[in-house]
Amino acid sequence: MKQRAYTNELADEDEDDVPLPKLMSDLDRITGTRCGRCEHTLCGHEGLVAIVLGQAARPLCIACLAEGLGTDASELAAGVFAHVRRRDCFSKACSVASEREGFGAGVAPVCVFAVAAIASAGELEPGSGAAADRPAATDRWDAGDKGCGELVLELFMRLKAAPAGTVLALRATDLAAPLDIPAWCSLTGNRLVYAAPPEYLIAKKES
Amino acid sequence: MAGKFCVSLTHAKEDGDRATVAFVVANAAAASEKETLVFLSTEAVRLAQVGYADQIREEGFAPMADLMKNFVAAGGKIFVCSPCFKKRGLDEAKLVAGATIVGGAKLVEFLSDGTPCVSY
Repeated sequence: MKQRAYTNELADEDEDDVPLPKLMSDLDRITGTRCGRCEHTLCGHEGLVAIVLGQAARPLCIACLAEGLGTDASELAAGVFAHVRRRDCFSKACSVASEREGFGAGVAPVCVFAVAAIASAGELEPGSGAAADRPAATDRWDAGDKGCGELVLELFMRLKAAPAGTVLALRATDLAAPLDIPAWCSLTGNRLVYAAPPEYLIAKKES
Repeated sequence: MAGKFCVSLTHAKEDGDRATVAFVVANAAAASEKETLVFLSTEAVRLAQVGYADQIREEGFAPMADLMKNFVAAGGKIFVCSPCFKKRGLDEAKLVAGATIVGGAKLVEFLSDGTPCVSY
């Protein structure tokens, strides 16, 4: 993938709006498929990022896209969504993705920005999320929309009771979870192996 | 990881929102392996009575009774201000699990090494 000042190029190249049916068809095709590099499952917003950057044929997640472009993941996410907001067609597609995933209109999609922030902070290396490299989950917990103290308290109790070597696959849809879960892991020493909100993989620390 | 954390609460049923949030934050601290204390004074001492917390259920949060039970199960401690308790004619034979009646000196002791405290 060549390096480019993508926002400038997009504004010059794509003067006409992409017809919405074609855009939605591409988005529907991509949503729920895996990143071509690390096998992270792409949400609608990540699918839109791939389409905007001309990667619809082989979509990648935001972390892998950023690495390929040699740019910072958070800056890439911010730049792409600034462009999305300027374009009617992309804005509409983004609204549909947001509605499907339970985000309010105008709210930055946490699914992309939180993962980008984790990648930017160097805590999650692109490609290291490859399924083959990841330890297999030994336990699963769907926390639903539980958040704040209630989420981490139950997480704490579950991991405390779990045997050594436990790798917990957590699903948490709370909007703050992408920030709270990494903070909690850092405070307690349990290892955040992988994060692709709302999915997280946490390895219980050794005693 | 070592570290202590204190939550000071002065409300009960008359401000169920604040009372609930105080225990949610206390749970976050306990879950983060801080040695956590909830200090109840003025109206909040009513929460230390068995059955009282059942009256508080704020939308979007677990019921207060569950929050308090989970807090204690995770290792949290509850201190109840003695003069506030007596002033309200409450019954020390009916204290919730994890609660101890104390005076101000125990709060000062807990905080005197620079332990942070958030107040509700």
